[in-house]
Amino acid sequence: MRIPVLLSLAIAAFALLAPDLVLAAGEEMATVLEGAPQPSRLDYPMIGGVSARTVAWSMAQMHLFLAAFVLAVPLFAIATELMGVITRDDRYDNMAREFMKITMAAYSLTALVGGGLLLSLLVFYPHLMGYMVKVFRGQMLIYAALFGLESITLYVYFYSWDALRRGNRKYYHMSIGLMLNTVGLTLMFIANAWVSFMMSPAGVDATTGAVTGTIWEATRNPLWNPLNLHRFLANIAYGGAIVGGYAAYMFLAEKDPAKKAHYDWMGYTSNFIAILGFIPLPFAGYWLMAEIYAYSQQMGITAMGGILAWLFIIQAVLIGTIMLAANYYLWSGLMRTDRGAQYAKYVKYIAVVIVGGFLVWVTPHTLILTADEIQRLGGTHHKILGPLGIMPAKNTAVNLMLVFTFMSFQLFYRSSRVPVVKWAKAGNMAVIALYAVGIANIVGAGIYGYITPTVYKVGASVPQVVSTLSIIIFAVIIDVFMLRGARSEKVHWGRMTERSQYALFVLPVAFTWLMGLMGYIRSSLRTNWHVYTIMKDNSPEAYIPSIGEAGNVITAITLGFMAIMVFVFWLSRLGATKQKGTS
Amino acid sequence: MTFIKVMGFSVVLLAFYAVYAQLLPQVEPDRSAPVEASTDGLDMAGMIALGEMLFHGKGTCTLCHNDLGRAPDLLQTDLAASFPERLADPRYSGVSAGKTGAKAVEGYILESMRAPSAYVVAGFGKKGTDDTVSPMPVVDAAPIGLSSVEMNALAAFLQDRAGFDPTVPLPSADDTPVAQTPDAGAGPAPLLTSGQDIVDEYGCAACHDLNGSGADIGPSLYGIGKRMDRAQLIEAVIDPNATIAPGFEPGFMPSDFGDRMRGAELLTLAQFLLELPDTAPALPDPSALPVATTVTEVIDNYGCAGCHDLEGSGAEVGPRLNGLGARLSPDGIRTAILDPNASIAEGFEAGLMPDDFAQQMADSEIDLIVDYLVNLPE
Repeated sequence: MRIPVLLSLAIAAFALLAPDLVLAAGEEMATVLEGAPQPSRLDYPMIGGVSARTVAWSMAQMHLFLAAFVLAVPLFAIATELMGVITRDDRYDNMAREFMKITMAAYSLTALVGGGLLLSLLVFYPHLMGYMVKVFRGQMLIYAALFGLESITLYVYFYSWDALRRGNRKYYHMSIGLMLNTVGLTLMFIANAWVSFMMSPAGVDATTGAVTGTIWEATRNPLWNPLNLHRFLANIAYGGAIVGGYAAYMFLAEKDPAKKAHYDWMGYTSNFIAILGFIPLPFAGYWLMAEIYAYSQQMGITAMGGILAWLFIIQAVLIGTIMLAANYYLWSGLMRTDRGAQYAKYVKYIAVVIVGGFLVWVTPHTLILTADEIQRLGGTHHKILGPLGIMPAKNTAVNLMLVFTFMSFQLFYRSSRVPVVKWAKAGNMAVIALYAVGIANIVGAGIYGYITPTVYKVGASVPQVVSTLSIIIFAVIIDVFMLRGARSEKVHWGRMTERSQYALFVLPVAFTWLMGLMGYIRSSLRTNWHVYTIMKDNSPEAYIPSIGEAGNVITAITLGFMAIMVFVFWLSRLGATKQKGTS
Repeated sequence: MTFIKVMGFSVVLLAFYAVYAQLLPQVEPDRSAPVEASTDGLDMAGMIALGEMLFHGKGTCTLCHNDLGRAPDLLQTDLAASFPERLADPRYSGVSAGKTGAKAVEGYILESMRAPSAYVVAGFGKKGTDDTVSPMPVVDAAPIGLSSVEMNALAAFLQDRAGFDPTVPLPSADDTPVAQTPDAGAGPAPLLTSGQDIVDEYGCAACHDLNGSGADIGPSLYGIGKRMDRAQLIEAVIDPNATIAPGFEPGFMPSDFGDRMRGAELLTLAQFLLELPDTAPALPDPSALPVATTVTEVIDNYGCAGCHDLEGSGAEVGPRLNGLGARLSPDGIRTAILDPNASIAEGFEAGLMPDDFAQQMADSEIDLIVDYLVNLPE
């Protein structure tokens, strides 16, 4: 059983020492000097009036939803398993196993849809696929081989759970989990390389697209790492949201109070993981967008100041929904403890900030107006609301929303623990001071953003981000020390309303739609290029669809995905149901 | 039961997002096929107009050269003063360094498009480069990919704005045609690729005798190829008051076609007009035309939108008709159509609107348009 450990260590060491060989194995020096194909409008296969783009789009997005879930759940399954080992609390171990049970049901679907995506690309976009294979050559075979390895490790990890549960065997099991996650993340990074190459090609001739560099050069293109980080964090948040949805579903379906308590605890933990992944996500998003601007100012402006700008208003609505739902769930959680009521009086103030921040975020700046509307408005921007549409206001709003969401979580955490250290009062004062100074800094930097030239506005967001992260990190550190040996209050798991579970279910629905929207934006940034500046998209559907049209497609895919997920939840429950009279 | 309730909840939430996406302003994409237009015969006025269109369109210059501070605002800057300053700046060592005059400015502009870092205006360089590296993309490479004729047109436009006589070479038959690919994002309207579509879209036949309209507000365009060359024709479209045909008055033809049309459309329209026959083809018997059964057909058949702001035409030759029902009775509207010179709206002139609709239109068609105008909201 030491083999998996040694194997995963060997892979990790190999990857660190020679990334070129791992990600570009089997590569010969580039000798293919033929340029990227330039198909004309008539070269794209037309099959029975089927919208090629909608088929490929739907398949890609559905595959991404499932793959994100299937990759994310093992990540925090192993983290939860580790928690179980550290705390010696079997609940963590049981929950991690249950996470994996849901993953197993979704795994085969991921592969199936992935096959459908490949087929749709080969059928409808053969020239693009031919070019991508030329650029990435053997890496695609490695991807297929890794997928096989992922399947093996996933099955072994799940089915060996009980056989390797206690003692030293547990570490063998966790080693298999580590290997599973290493393979899963490598798969994601490889797929990210292909997608980011299409946005910021590297390793090819800038004029003709002829392959001149190594696979590693094409892989390590300018947007690869920002995309890797963004997707990694988003996967954690997404996985947490989906498992939270599962817990909410099971909570609603169960009648047994003990099981309800279990699923309530699972929902709380999943929500915590989702928010944990969600908090740094806007900052990873900033980095990605900053790198997009650095790579191509035109691409950046197309996203943030061009025709895609309106989509960020929908993004604000979705994130606002997520924030409100997550906070509502946390506030509802205060009723689980008897001390929770004493914190309830603060909820209304937090709600004001969250709703206010949401309204600021959703306020547009640049409006698409008719001449008549401009005349009635007295200008191209609204006199009072216009200033709320620019970045300093948005940055201030999102940072305050994150700080107050963390506060909601901290209130619940505190409601079940009474500090007994002598310096508890001073500690509380320090926490309050931390919040006060941090919030003042966020607001102050926001005001500074208004009085500084455009180029420094983005720079003004850095101290805001630092303030937010400082509040969270230092508040956690103070709590860790202050609540050492704290008197624990009983938490009545299961003492939650049904309404709160629907709030928990909002998260996976909104997250899924949001991912679909961001996929549409990211893909649209290439405008009418398959591979930006290298291979033009001359197909009849090269245009960017309108927001309404995109909204319909995203809604349809999300609905399909949620139907699959709820069906999987139902199956999972069915699998645990025994006929009366059987044992 | 939980399955149904949870799915129902998901559907309601998703429906909210889908509806919200529909409520936002919809930017309809340009789905048209790409088109190429020859620039052969384009004169300097045409080059300046083409340059202006490229500045706002395919060149994507206004993405950064605007009042948001990313790049110098070329439409607001006093270029007459700033170009000589830049050529004399010790930091500039490019092809026109230390030189003066229009030719030097041309060289500077073209160089700035091909090698933007040759000179970076103070404060507009990439962060951390001390204004030695420009964030501007090279415009003759992808994704913008302007041809040399297009860059010359842009240079002509900027020279003109700076008060210089443009010095760029005029295009010849050997030059690459101007390729107008559809806008991948949003265009105000799909790119029009046929001369007839352009005539219809911009309502030319409302004033000129085209398509059998018989209109005589402007001169007939049949045989225009005998009276004007291609360059003169393009100038007449984008600057209609520069030269007025005998017997006609200035000020009637809209002077914003240079802004509204895209470069390829202008060139396509010129080619279409040059190929028109010398005389109007024999008109079909009006009584043989089928009677319009919808108000849209009435408006299209009789060209109302060519002069009035109807169906988004924006035309201003005749008064705006929105809210007409509040100003005139149904009989008053009927009289205004059948005897348009009986009463003239303030600010407009008599004699422009055809006065033979009583003979041209069927009673049912008149009823349709009157009913439509009575109910047309403000």
